[in-house]
Amino acid sequence: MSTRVLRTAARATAPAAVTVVLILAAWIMVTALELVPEYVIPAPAAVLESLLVSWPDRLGPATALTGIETLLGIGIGVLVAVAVVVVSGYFPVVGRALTPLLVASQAIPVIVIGPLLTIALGYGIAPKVVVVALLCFFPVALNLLAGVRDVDARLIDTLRTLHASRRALFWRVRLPFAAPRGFAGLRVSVTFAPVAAVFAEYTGSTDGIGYLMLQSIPRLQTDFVFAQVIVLTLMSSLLLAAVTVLERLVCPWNTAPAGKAHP
Amino acid sequence: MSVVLAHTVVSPDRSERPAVDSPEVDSPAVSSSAFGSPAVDLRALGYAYPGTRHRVVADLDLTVPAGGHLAVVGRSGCGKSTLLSLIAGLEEPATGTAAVLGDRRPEQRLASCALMPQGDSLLPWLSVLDNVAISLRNQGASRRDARAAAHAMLDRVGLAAWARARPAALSGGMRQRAALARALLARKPVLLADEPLAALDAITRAEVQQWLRTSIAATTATTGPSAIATTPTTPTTLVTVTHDVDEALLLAERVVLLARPEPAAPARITATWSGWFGDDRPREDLVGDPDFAATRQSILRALAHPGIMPPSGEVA
Repeated sequence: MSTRVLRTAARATAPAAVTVVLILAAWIMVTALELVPEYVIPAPAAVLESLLVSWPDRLGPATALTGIETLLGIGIGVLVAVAVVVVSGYFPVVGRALTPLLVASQAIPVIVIGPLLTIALGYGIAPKVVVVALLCFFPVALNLLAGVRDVDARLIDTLRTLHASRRALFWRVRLPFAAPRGFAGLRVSVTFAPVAAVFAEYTGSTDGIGYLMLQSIPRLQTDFVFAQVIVLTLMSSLLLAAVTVLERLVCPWNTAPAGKAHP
Repeated sequence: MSVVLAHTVVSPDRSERPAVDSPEVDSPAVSSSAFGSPAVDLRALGYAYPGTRHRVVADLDLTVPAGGHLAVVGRSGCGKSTLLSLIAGLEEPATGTAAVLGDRRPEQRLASCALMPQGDSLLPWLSVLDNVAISLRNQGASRRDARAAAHAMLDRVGLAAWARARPAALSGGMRQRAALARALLARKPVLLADEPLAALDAITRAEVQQWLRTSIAATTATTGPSAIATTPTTPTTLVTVTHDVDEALLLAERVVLLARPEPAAPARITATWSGWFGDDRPREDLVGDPDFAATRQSILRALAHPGIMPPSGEVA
């Protein structure tokens, strides 16, 4: 038990903790003094109650579904991104052909694609997974492609004199070099992935957090909406933490603190 | 303008140096007669960067005998690194020819040369051991065999205790030693060192220079026809590119100046001197030697005024 470690940890987290406490205090004060109507800003206690009461039958199952859509979407998006990068590693012309397309397609708003996918794939899980996958694919693929190409030319020269074939260069030099950048892209992806899933549910669904939101907003069940927002925020934070842990496992040489990279 | 770098071209005043009978160095007669073709042979070489017509080097002639140690000095941007790329078959000459061990084909030149680049070239995601083993892994050796060979090589450069560490845990000097171990394990007959110690501070650089002098000499002498060389009859040939004049004189028997005779002209070899490689006195003694100091002075003067040929150097 080292008090120094505790003190360092306290110094790192204290400012954020104080901010949270202050916001919470302001929230409690505003609602307790009834400065705003309850349907605009519900009391923290009401939100907590709504979360706990609705969890077993409604919010819990909806969270599970949205979570599955999010995870599947991230998984598929990352798999396709890595596959594209590997193929373009073996056939550089593929990478050169795809990059402008990738950059351009990143500009297409998900808001437009979502409803179209619902028309094409129905009200089930499929269009949500596709929306999340699309959103996750681009940052990961673009960052990896850039990383694979940015390896110092003299380093490549050196490895070529050390018997490295094109294949060996890709797997032993280019891909490991690009991996931390891929993770930087993934961090951006997972932050928005749950929101993308919820948005896809907005455009047509029968379950999920997005579906619950669509139902509770017209009914002015603001406390329930707040509870859903909290669950979504937790989901994003958990995903971000998971990516950070994964990055430390996959790229332990990358000593730059993961928390510092901006999403 | 041609400079033939054979051991036989030694200035008279230097022939009495103790270095000549130092046991680590092959006698000149052996190096030039036992191996038919020189290790490196550049003739009327010219090169322009792709897409440009401006010649970086032109009319460059340079020969390094097998087992020889040559240093190329020159100011920044005069094409020293390009020269190494041309030798290694990473670039092709626009005019003239480049041959390594008598072979002009780029893939054969690449097969004969190992490059030790400037700065940090170890892969940060691999352990020191796996970095050193990479050339064997690239050749299809099993992880176990490659690591065993790499471990033996690390032992020789005094880094066995650091085998499992990542490069980031090593000091700059240790990383350069690991980079040398990696290059040696590639078992190439020609080792091309591009500013190998430029990233080190002055004190560490002096230490590693001293260490390199003894370990390169050991490599050439004890393994001339064995572990390091691909062909059993070819000892390791070293070409070092540097802007550190002391380093050039310490690591080579011959030092050549690569310079532009006029400001916009392409670079070529404009002068050559004898170096102190093989003189087994410690670095500090050599650097204080009046002959050494005079040669250093001559090279520095030539570096500062490439147009004027140095009086004491052997003018090409």
